[in-house]
Amino acid sequence: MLSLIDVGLRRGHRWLVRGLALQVLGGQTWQIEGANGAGKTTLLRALAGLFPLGQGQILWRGRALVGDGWQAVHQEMAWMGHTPAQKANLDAPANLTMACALAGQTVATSSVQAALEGCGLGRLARRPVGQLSQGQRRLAALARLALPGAPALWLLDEPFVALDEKACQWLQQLMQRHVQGGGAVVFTAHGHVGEAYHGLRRLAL
Amino acid sequence: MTASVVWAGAPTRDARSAWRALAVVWRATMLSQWRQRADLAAAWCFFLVVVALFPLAVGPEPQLLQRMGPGVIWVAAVLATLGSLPRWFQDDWQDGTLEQMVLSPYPLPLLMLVKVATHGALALLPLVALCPVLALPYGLGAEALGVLMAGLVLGLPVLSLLGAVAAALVLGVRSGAVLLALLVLPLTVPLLVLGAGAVGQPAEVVTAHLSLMAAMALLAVVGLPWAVASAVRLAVEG
Repeated sequence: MLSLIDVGLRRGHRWLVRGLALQVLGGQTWQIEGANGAGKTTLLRALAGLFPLGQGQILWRGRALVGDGWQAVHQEMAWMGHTPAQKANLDAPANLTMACALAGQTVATSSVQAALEGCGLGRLARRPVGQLSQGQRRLAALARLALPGAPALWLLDEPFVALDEKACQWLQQLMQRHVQGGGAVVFTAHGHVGEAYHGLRRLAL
Repeated sequence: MTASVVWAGAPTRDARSAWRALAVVWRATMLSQWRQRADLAAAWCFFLVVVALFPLAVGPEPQLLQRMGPGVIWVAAVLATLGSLPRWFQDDWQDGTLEQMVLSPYPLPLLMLVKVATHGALALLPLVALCPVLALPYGLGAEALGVLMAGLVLGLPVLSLLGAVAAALVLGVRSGAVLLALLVLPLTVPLLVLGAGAVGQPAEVVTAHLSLMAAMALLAVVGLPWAVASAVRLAVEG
């Protein structure tokens, strides 16, 4: 799906990553790990086209990504940054609907409700997300991935942070189902999040 | 070698889905901003109070007030607009919504235009609606009031878009609000001169001024969303 050729990332004069080659194929899950400041998030942002490459190139389905080429990728990509992109004074369904609309994903109200119930937020769905806890807000954002028609490539920045055990399991199952269906997941995390995860590939920075 | 997975769930990008997306963004932004209407009300009250204070400070001289009125209302409207605008970008930048907009398959300039339009509807229209009340202490007649309001309706969107470019440029900068004012205020001169200057003039002069302002408004609506989008990209990719 996504190939990185000799990719380098630079902050000012300091190279965070240099000469990185990586192939992300459909059916694969990649965990990017590394110490604080190693450039995990920056690499993920570069994969999403949110950070300019210092050198090298990224191919999407074999085609080099430059300029407008990114638009086609964005259509098939779900990005979750470390901030959950939610309006604090809107409720979870309204936030989900907006996120889907922005991503060009058409969803029915009933499936939004079902996705929220699936991750255990059904009861709280009517509250403004500003009143939810950190973990619940993250769950409410991640619920987008459980909707029908979710994009093929998921780029998740620290998705397990603030999630409790049950929620972590829910997310792992969701990821597992997604890659079994031919999709791909790249996420950043410290340590051994996915002990139980089947077929996890690690990239250490 | 790249796996060629055919993805059944890939969204379609026809015009209808684009319109639906823009409508959803419009609704969500309107609702979200309306729920913080205390901030909006602060801008309206600022406008109201500044315009109402001038006659008290200057004294009850009908002729002087009549001359000053349009100018005072215009300057207050410009300041109220610039005061309310930064929040439209700051919030979205902090909570990651701007990121998602940059990553959207829909054109970013269009999304930005929708965003600025919600600012127009919630922050600017009320200012125009307050004008009939504020015209009273200055003794502006119905005709003068009409010209003033027409000018504001044409001029404030330009201001809002100019302000949006600057607001996106100063994202993440400390004391961005001051920088925003310094960047935008010099650019408002033509609008002020044309808008305030049209009031109380003969019909042909009014037509000339308003036509020029309409031309500026059209240019701004067509051109500036691209500038806003570029500035937002810069901020997000920084």
